[in-house]
Amino acid sequence: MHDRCRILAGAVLRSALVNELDFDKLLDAMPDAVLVADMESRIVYANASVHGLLGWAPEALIGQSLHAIQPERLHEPHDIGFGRYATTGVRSLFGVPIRLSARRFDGTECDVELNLAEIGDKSGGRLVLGVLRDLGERVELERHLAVLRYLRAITAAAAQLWTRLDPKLVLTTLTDVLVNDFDAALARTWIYEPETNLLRLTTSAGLSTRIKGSSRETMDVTTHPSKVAAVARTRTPLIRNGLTDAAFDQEWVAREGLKSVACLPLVAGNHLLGVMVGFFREPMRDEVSETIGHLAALGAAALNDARLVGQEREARSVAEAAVALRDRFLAVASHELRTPLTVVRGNWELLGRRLRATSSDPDAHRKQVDTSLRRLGQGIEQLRRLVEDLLDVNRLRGGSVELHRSELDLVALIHDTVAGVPDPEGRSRIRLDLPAGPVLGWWDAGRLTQVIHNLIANALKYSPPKGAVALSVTELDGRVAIRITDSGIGIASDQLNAIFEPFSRAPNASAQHYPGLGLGLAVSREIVGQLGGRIWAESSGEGQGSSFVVELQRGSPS
Amino acid sequence: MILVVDDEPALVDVIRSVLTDEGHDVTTANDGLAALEYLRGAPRPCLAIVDLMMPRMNGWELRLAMLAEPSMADIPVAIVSAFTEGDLSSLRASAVIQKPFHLAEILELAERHCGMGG
Repeated sequence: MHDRCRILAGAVLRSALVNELDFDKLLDAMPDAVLVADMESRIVYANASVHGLLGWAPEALIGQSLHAIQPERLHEPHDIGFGRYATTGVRSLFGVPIRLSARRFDGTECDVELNLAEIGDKSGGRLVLGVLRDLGERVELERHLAVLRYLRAITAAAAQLWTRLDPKLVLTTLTDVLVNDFDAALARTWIYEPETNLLRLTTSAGLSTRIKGSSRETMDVTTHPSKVAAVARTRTPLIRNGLTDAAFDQEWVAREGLKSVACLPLVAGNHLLGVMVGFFREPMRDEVSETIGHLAALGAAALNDARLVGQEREARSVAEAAVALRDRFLAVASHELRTPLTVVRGNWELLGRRLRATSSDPDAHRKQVDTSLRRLGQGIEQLRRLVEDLLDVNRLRGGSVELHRSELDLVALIHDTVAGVPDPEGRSRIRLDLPAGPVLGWWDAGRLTQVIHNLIANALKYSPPKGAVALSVTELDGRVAIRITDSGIGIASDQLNAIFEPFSRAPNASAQHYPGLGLGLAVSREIVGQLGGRIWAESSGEGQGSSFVVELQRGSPS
Repeated sequence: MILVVDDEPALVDVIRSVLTDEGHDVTTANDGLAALEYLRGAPRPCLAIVDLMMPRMNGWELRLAMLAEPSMADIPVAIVSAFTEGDLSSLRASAVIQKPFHLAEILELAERHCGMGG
């Protein structure tokens, strides 16, 4: 605009010098109103477009003061400014577009943009050239630009929406865009659960003041009185100025100065997926109402994708986990169950042979038969324990095991458990670091013994033949921690959690053929979980030994 | 002399019992390293019954170590395994016995390689 003004000024000047073209005609063809005034602020020229913009016939303006096209309130500031310019030549308003009001012939006002330039007349005097452009058209353009800006924000959000295949993240993006790009004072989204017919508040951005009335955390779509529920019910957007409806907390609306609201259902295909709402502190702008529907449509599509991907992922992971569990079971059971089975079958056959054999030494014979019977019993007991563990882990995971809590002294329980370690050599490797007095809590004695026994057995199993195992108990704010540390083969960091899965054994444990079904830790984790505690493993890595920590609440009788 | 190599005491026990009942001499080792140590310092056994899955040194490693030493390479080896997959041919074993086995299989092997017991 400014450049055009300068070119125009140059053209007028050249016409004065060269007089080749009919510049009057040229200027009349311009859509902008062009005026030239002298140093007394009198109009000396006006082009034809002056009529369209200001309602004046151009020739009627010639000789008039510039006051003729100015609202009265601007006369004084104009006189001061123009006077200073005329006397000093300081052109403070030249070269930049100025927005101001102009007065039409009929007395009404219009918004114009004014560009000023100085030109010289034939006698070397100064003239001022003003080019006035109707801003009505500009306002229209700006509105288009604003719509464009919103569409651009939505497009930018689309990239995020499509890559975030998670419903919560999609909805977070929606509320962020509403607040950051649509200037909403408050934005919220709800996810719709078809099974329960409930809307659940999922994300929120912007002001977080308390809203009175029925809770909007979860809303029954059919019965809740809010507008959000109504929008979900009817699947019809609500975009409006003024929040005087009783459905809105009027005190809140007044306190926050809210003026308008846009509430849209998130619908993909025939499925209602949720609702998004934005409250604004200014009247609903056209560009917002025109574009917010696109945002909702885009959000709904992304939400639908996230939902489908989630369902698929869940189904796949459940199936994969089941297959992995079966494979682990087959691998472990083929070794761990076959060995005791071999012991049982071997002893059974041995017993048969010995019973059939004739002996010259009945006492020795009797002793041999007794030994076989005892070993047969031990093998069966070992198999029974394995089968018990298998059933246990399933029962515990299914939550069908009832705990029998009673008040126990953990210190005494540990002493008893250690005394129950079968081999004296293993028992002698255990170093206890226990509080002097009793450590009381409400636990299931049998189950807790099972956990501690499992951990001690593991520590002994995975340590070198004479390696020590340390067992300590510490008390901390109502909680109790049991720590069992060995000097064994250690655990790689990526296995610290995995080893608690049923049938899963750390690669270094199975590679070195330490026996085990991979159930002890799984059973222990289920028991500790049901006691309301935590169990975890710590290790600096393979060959570095490991610690297992059981943290328990002291619990209560129930 | 028959060498039984297994880390499971109950299993070693039943194999030893049935063999000694039939008059065979039996010595035992609870992993590959112990077995290798025994083989280096003692008269060669007529048969080695070797479990595959053991800590420290497993059955594969023991057998490969034996094959690498001329004095041990031709000792007959019976592999005892719960391991159902995999190719064991590289172990050049005289027999592969799957758990759970019958004692008769062990006795038949002992008779084939060591003759009738005492």
